[in-house]
This record gives sequence, C-alpha cells and structure tokens, in this order.
Amino acid sequence: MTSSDAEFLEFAEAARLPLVRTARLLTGDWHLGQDLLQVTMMKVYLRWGRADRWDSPVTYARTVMVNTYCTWYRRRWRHEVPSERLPDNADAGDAAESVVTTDVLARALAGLPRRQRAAVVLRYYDDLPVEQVAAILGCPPGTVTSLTHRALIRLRRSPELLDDMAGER
Amino acid sequence: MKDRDERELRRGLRAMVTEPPPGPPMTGVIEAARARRRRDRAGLGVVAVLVAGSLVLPGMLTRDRGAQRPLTPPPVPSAVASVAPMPRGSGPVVVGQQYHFDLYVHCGIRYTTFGGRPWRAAPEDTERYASYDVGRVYTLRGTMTLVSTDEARFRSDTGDVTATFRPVGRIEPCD
Repeated sequence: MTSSDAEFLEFAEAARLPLVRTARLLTGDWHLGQDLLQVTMMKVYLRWGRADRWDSPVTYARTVMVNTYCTWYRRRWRHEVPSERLPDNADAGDAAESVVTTDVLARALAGLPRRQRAAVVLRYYDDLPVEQVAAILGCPPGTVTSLTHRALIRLRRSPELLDDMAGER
Repeated sequence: MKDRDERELRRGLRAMVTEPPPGPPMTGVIEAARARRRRDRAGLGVVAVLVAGSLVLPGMLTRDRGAQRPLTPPPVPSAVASVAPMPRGSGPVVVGQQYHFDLYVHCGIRYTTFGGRPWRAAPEDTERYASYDVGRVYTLRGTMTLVSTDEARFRSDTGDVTATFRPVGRIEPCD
C-alpha cells in the first residue's frame, strides 16, 4: 500500500460516518446508502492524485455522491416509488413515537423528486449554505432556493405528514 | 411558522440517521477501484487494437492479395452507355463502364489505383512526363475503363494519351 493509499484510507474512515448518513437520507435505505458510499469513495480514490487541487476532500466526495445519486439512481432504480412501509426501520430508535415520526418523514421524503430531496438533505441535514449546495448540484443559488421551497411545500402537503400533525393536535 | 417547520425537518432528518449499521471496510474500495481501472485500461486497449486493425488490415489485405482478389460485382459485359463518376473510396467498378478518371503522372505513367486495387501500366511510360517539376501534382484528366478483371484502360480527354494497366500487388513510390 502506498502512502497515497494510506492517506486516502485515513480520509475515507474519517468521512465515512457523515457521508453514509447523507447517503442514507438520499437513497432512503441504509443498504442502498452503503452502496452509494462505496461507489462514491471508489470514484474519489480514482481521482485521489488530484486531491491537492480540491478545497476539501469531504466537499468533493459529497459532490460526487450527490451527482452519482442523481444520475446513477435514474439509471438503475427507475422503479423506485414511495412505499407504504420502508424496507428498513433500524434507524428508528427505541421509542415507538420516534419510529412513527421517522417513518412518516422518510415516506414523505421518498415522494420528493431527486434534486429536491438532495437540496433538502444538503440544506437541512448537512446544514450547508445555499451557495455551497448550488456548487454541489451545479446550478445557480436561486435554483437551490426554488428547489427547497418547492420541497417544503410538498412536504407540508404530504398526506403522511398532515395526518401525523393532525394526530399531534 | 416557517422556521418551526424547518426546525422540525432538521430534527426529523437527524432522527432518521442516528444509528448507522456497520459497513464494509474502506480497503475494499481501493481494491474495487483498482479492478475497475484495470478493466477500463483493458477495454481501452481492446478498442485501440480494433481501431488500429480496422485502419491497417484493409491496406494489408489489398497489398497482399490485390492481384488475386476478384472484383465485385461480377463482370457484366455490356456496351458502354455513358461516362460514370468514379465510385467513392474503393467502391466497386463494373466491367465495360467508363469512369471519369484523373491519372496521376508525376513520375510518368507507372502506377495507379482504380476500383480499390493497385494497377501497373503495361508498358510503363516514364519518358513523357519525366521532366515535370518535383512538388507539383500532375494528373491527366480522362476516362478509365475496366476492360476485364485483369485489364484497365485509360484514355485522356485530349485523346492523345492511352495506357493499359494490369493488377499488381503493391504500388512502388516514385524514384
């Protein structure tokens, strides 16, 4: 193993946890998220020789991940549809209430178009500023604002979330 | 209200990813990437060989088998109707048909390519055009007729130059 490989492994292990969480939110599934992370890291490794030109390897990896998700997903999983029950609920925690809330939000998220979902995850989970999300998605900042705005409207109108909110009242 | 929604969304998203399951080791990524690189390079190599083969092979076949290769389509003895344009590239020529033809005569009437095959003048005429300046391209405008599968005849438009050609394996460069 070269010193470059060792540096890559150090980066990959450090970035694994935040990136796999982003991947899980994008794909809606831990296993698909792991797949997306592996493909992303492979692409990053293949360009690791140019890492000194990147502002931040994590940002670069996140960009690769989102772009892979937006295109790769379209090619391989066109059959993806929002499901009544998500395939995994291992992340729901112990509390029954938490399970319900998480499941409802996950289903609502799964109903969003890919770019809207990516914008929501990057803005509200990764807490990235609009400009950085725009750089990752390769679009103007105004488009990010529009994507998140439309996503929020859609989430608010989502029947799952409306039912859940009505139940809280 | 909007801020509250966004706070709820943030909290919900974080709740979804609290306990990630253990994933495969990252060393596997390096192995997979190397395998993919090898595969890509092998694919590029195959493409390069195929491209090179498609460029070189036709020339080799022409050179090696030019004298024996039958012309297509099969000979059709017929009276000459009119002068036809030369088929593009090495397109087939028909026996008995006259074709517009520019004969290259830079170092005399020696070799030419007609119907995708190399031909040699019989006899060669190196005297008539030997005094032409090097570097200039000289061609005689006329017609070429495939008399039979192993004979082609050139006639200049002025009518004062005729030449007979026989199939040959390869074209020799000018001296």
